[in-house]
Amino acid sequence: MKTTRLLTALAALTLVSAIGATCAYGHAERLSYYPNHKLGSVPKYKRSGPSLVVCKADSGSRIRRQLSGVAKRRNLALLRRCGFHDIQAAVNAAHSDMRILVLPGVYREEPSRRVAEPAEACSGDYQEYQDPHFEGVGTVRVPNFEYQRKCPNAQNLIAVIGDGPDKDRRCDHRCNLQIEGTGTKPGQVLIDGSRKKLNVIRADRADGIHLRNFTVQFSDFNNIYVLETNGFRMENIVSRWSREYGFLSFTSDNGLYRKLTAYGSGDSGIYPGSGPEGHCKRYGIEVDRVDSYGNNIGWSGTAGNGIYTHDSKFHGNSAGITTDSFAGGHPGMPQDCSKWERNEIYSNNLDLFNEQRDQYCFEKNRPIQERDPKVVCPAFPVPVGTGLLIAGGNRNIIRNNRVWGNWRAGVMQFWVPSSFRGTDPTGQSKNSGPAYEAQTDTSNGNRMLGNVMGMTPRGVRAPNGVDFWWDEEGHRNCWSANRAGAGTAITSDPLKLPGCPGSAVHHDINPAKLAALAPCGTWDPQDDVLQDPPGCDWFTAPRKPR
Amino acid sequence: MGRIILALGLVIVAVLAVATVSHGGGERLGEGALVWDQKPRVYRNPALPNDRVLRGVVRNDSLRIMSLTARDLDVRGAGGGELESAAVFAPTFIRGVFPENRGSDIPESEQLRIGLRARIEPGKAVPITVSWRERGGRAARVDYGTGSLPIGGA
Repeated sequence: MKTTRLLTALAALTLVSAIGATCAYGHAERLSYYPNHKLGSVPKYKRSGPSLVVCKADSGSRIRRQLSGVAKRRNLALLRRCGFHDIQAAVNAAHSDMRILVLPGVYREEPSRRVAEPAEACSGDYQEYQDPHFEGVGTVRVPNFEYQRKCPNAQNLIAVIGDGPDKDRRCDHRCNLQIEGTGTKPGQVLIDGSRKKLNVIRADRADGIHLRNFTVQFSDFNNIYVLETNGFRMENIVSRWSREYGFLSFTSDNGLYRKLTAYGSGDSGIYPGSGPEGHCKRYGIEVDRVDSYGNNIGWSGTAGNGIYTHDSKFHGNSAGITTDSFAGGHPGMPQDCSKWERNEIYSNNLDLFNEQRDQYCFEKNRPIQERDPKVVCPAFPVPVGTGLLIAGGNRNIIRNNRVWGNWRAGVMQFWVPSSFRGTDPTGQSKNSGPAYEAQTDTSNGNRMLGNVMGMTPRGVRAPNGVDFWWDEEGHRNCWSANRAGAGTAITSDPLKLPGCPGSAVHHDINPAKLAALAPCGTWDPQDDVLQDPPGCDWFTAPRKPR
Repeated sequence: MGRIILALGLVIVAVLAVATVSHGGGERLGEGALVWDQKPRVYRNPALPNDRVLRGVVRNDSLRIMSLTARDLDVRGAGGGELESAAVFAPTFIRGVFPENRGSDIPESEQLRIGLRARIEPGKAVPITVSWRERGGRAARVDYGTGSLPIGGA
């Protein structure tokens, strides 16, 4: 038995005995459950039907200044029907299937800002769970659904809470709402969080929610957050400078991210995490024509399962796309069955980990309100210069994409042992039971097919550091029909990659590669040495390859 | 199958441990309660010529549970000087779920999950990765406060 397998077995032994339950979600969320996808669908755009109109005092002058023709006349007509000055007020007045039409203006939602967090009225509405193995260390206390239902604006500037007090986790009221900016461009309706609330917009069990045509900025966590929602659509929206995530969906299904622009997020521009569990029989969330740039990560998804991402651009981030099986508590582990097709993944070399940025972002005791919210502070360590990273994932398809100018690697893939994920207290993951011991359940069965590497769409050579980097672990991983620019060849580490369908025999990890990865997990932006841990080269933008 | 692999792993650990003792000619496994369960290996990343990465497995050779914080481990040279170093009780890259741009501490249970801490029962072993920068002097041992693990010859 090789050393690696021995380590694997030991890791399993140690952690399976030590970890009995998950500690928390990264975004401090209650235990969440997938909806029944058969009971939902992606909402369609409603051009007519009952509606409520929201405006600000200066909407009229904005309409006259910014719009013309039919759009101007329509908006002026809507202005006469304006009944609300805050979007939340309209949401509160809405019934299922209504449209909320938001006229040009800046929406700061002052009444919501005045709601305290934590909310005294909901002081008993928390979910608490404890890990008995840690003798009290692992206690987690998070607001439960009742907290969100009864105190919707404690954490959220705008909350669409669909479910009632029953136990079915399904939308009962304010379902199929469509909240839509009425301008001709997303920038004409601006929803501004000013870092006052964790979420600028929260759709919670809000089945059929459709958000459209506005700009949203400055959340303290998520600009738009969709949770336990069966059927959602986000279209033609600009998200910028969210402290962590631009667009985030979690344990939701029948979703569509379309024509979104996301930039300036400390974690990721879009995050379809704990994605639908179709297990390669279906895709439950579609990502279509998204442009995500200037984030720590363009697209990320722990347990980002069942997502079909196509015709999108991920560029100018520290890492373009990451999907992983790192985190405890995310239903749907291990990650599997997503597809990326016809995307442009390029120039993801944004250096957010340099010394100046470290000093600015992580100087202790500097309140968030004193930081420039447009300065992106990275939330998690990533290998700067990477186009697409599979860190513990299975049966994904990466096909017909263009991947160029990522100075570390075009596509990187490595193993994550299941024991380090912990168990999923909701029971919706493969490793939910304490007896689960399959340490090598990632990364297997990933196929990289027909991608054009190291060349721009105009045919200009723009090499990746290496086109494909693989830790050599797993089975049924394969690379076929990928091509480089004229006169060049695909580059890879290892030099030879298995063609499809790949070998059914499980490959062992290259221990030297593991050694290069492990120290990167010690990254600590508040520690002078661990800002760039010895042995890890991830946090310096690689030199442009020749 | 998983149980078989685990059982085999344990058997081989035991065999390796014995072999190391019998063939090592008195090679030290550690001073204190923590010992190398098998001989660790040191790697060098070509991109970082001054850095070294040690991967190994440590075993609690005492009769008490050992609670260790990876950050408290120091790498020292032969003269006792401290080198810049990092340590994690994990065999590969693992990250947490709590964003690190918020200035808040990582909960202890999460630190245990991702290897920033270890709680080792008597006789049990955990993987460890230690990295350091060799500037001027070579690393000699990993100091964990109440004892040390030798690096020399690794």
